[in-house]
Amino acid sequence: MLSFELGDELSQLQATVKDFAAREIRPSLRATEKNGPSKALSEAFESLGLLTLDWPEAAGGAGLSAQYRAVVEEELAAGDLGSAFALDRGGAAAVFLRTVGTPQALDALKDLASGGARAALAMAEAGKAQDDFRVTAQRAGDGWSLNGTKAYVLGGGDASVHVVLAQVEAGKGLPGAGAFLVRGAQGIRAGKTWTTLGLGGTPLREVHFETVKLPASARLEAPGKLPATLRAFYDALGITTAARAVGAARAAYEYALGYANERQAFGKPIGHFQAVAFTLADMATQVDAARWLVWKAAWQSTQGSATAEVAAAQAQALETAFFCANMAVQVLGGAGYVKDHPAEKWMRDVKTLALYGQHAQAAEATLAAAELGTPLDSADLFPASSFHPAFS
Amino acid sequence: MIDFQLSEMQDNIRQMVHWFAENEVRPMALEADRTHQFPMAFFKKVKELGISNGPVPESVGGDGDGAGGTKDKKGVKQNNRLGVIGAEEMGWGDPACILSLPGPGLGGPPVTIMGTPEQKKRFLSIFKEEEPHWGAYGLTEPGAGSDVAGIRTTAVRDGDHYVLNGTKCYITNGARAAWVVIFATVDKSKGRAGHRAFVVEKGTPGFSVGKIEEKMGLRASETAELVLDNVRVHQDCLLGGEKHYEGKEGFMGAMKTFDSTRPLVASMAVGIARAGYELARDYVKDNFMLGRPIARYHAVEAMLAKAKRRIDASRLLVWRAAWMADHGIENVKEASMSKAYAARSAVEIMGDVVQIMGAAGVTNDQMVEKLYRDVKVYDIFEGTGEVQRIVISKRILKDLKAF
Repeated sequence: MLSFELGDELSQLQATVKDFAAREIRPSLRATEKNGPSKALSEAFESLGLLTLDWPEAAGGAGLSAQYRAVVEEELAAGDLGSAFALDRGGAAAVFLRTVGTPQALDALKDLASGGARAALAMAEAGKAQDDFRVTAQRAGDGWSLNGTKAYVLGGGDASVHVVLAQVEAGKGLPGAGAFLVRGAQGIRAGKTWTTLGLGGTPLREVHFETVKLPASARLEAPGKLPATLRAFYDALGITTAARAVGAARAAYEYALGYANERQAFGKPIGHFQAVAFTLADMATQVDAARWLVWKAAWQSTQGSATAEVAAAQAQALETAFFCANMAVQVLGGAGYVKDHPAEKWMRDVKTLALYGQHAQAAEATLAAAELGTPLDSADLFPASSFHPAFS
Repeated sequence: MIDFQLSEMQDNIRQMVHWFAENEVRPMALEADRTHQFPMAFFKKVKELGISNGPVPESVGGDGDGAGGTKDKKGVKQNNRLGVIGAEEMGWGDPACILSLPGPGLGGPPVTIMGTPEQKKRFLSIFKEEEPHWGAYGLTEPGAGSDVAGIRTTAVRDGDHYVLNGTKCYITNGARAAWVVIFATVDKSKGRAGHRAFVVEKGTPGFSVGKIEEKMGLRASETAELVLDNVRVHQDCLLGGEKHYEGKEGFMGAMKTFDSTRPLVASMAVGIARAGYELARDYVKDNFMLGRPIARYHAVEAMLAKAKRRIDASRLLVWRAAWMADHGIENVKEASMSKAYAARSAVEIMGDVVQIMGAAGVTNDQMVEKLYRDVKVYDIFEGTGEVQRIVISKRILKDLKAF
């Protein structure tokens, strides 16, 4: 039955995370952007147990639904989008492992939950677009040998767990590729760390894999099933991404609203001028619109396939985040452009968000495919092999 | 807990109204647009099917919520939710038709909210008759639109009667209505506190139809100018009686109705956008360029995806506002958000729909061309997009009373 209230449990969780975001994340956002999260911030975050909230119990998680994830990620990102990424040790790799759900994947998650290290998903590659991954996984005895270089890997290189997409059968593109679980550091070398537009608290790296020896069980899905696995993975990751986009949009909106209430011009608050007020009204409306799409997608994912709903939520939320971040800078004017206020940072962060995982164009193409009845695991819907690589 | 599943009853209503929209309304739509009206035989059929443009309370023999007066499983009234669910389907069928359906229309809420039991019985019981009847809502004037405070129609007390003078314009179903709720002022110096709402019946001496508007869209919907020239109405026609107006209720009564009607109008806009979107989506599958369906070009995909997600987002904003109204939660901001977003989105979506369909989108033997014309007014009536943004602004900014 239609209901537009969170209920007690989710409301309490929301309040807890909101409080944490206001007290711990927001005041240190510049330091986090520069150096990554401080030890104190990380410890405070870990103590809340948010990282593993929706991981299966077998992986040391609480087994909660995507609706919890959506609420939590919005609140964290409403503190600061870059910090929400920096604190997320599991990243896209944890979502991938959770999606796969095999015993070795759950085991890797369990170690991740109890340790303090990061996981990273190595997906994109630099250079001219082609159907095959340049990183290869070759049979070596009973197991595999991994070789090649990945690009745009958030938190890659020094992570304790890497999930790596690699070509198994040459010339077959995505259906001929596989996802491999790499634990430990043997044969892994961090390449350059890029200076980025946004999300400064998490290093974006090039990662070299040099004859990395893996057991047979390292392959995470059955041959030919990578496109289907990727679809499920993007559906799950999309809820986190979209919820963060809503949080970032809300942060920008609320900051601009507060500024417009205080800043005086021509004898009244600038919010009392229609051009500013209507901008804020549109921001408020679009934040709500995007949030409902995200919550609907999260709800749908508890009912069955949510590919179309997630794609819609993600495309909408990304658009909203950019609109709000851009308009927040606009409302603040000169103050929006300088680093005394976080508006400029959020405008940089949200642009980066639109290139993360299933990027904005891929989300739109996926939604259109769902509506037109075309296959949803078709390789051209995935940024992994498109002309337009996303980072992960 | 958040839930987006319609109840079985809500879904049955949706399916029933959709069936009607698809099978009875759509086939009439283009012809009605050309002739500027739906035939009376159509309205009789509508009555027989029990479909109306507004709820009639059970106390006067109506079916209450417009759905047997049934409450939801938790015992909460659901007329707002059922209303928006039905309105989307009717908007999908034909946006001019939904405004033309027999029933009290926008005149219903003020009578239901402000009227005395005697007034409800007197003015609403006609809608249970077999013959189709209409009610109407006369607020807008040549010099006063969304700024309700600016109305200039006067009401002067004369013994047991009031004498009304003024002109009302853009009144939906104004000429065919059995009665119209007319807003007038008894004392301009009192501003909103001087406002009164009267029910003026068709045929009252001095009450006449000026012109019927020719419009860009919604051509099959009747939009009338009404002239009040020394119209004498008995005090029994003052909605709620004099007592009701102690304080600012006169004006508030008028505004209260918006909390229900803005989501309703927004929902019709969702239905229009969905209708256009579906036509474009089906079109692109079957039309080829350079050997592949135009659906497979990203520029087209992006327009389709943008339309689809904005339609879905609009619907959720509408449903939330209706859900709040049903639960008695103040929803003025949310109702305006739903109207502001859904209407503006629908106008933009119809622009994209026509663009996707190219020449086929601009010929008048196509529903798309009509919907493109019809949709624009949804960002204008029941409070323009700008008025919705004023309402939202006042509720988010500190100490903002007016611009």
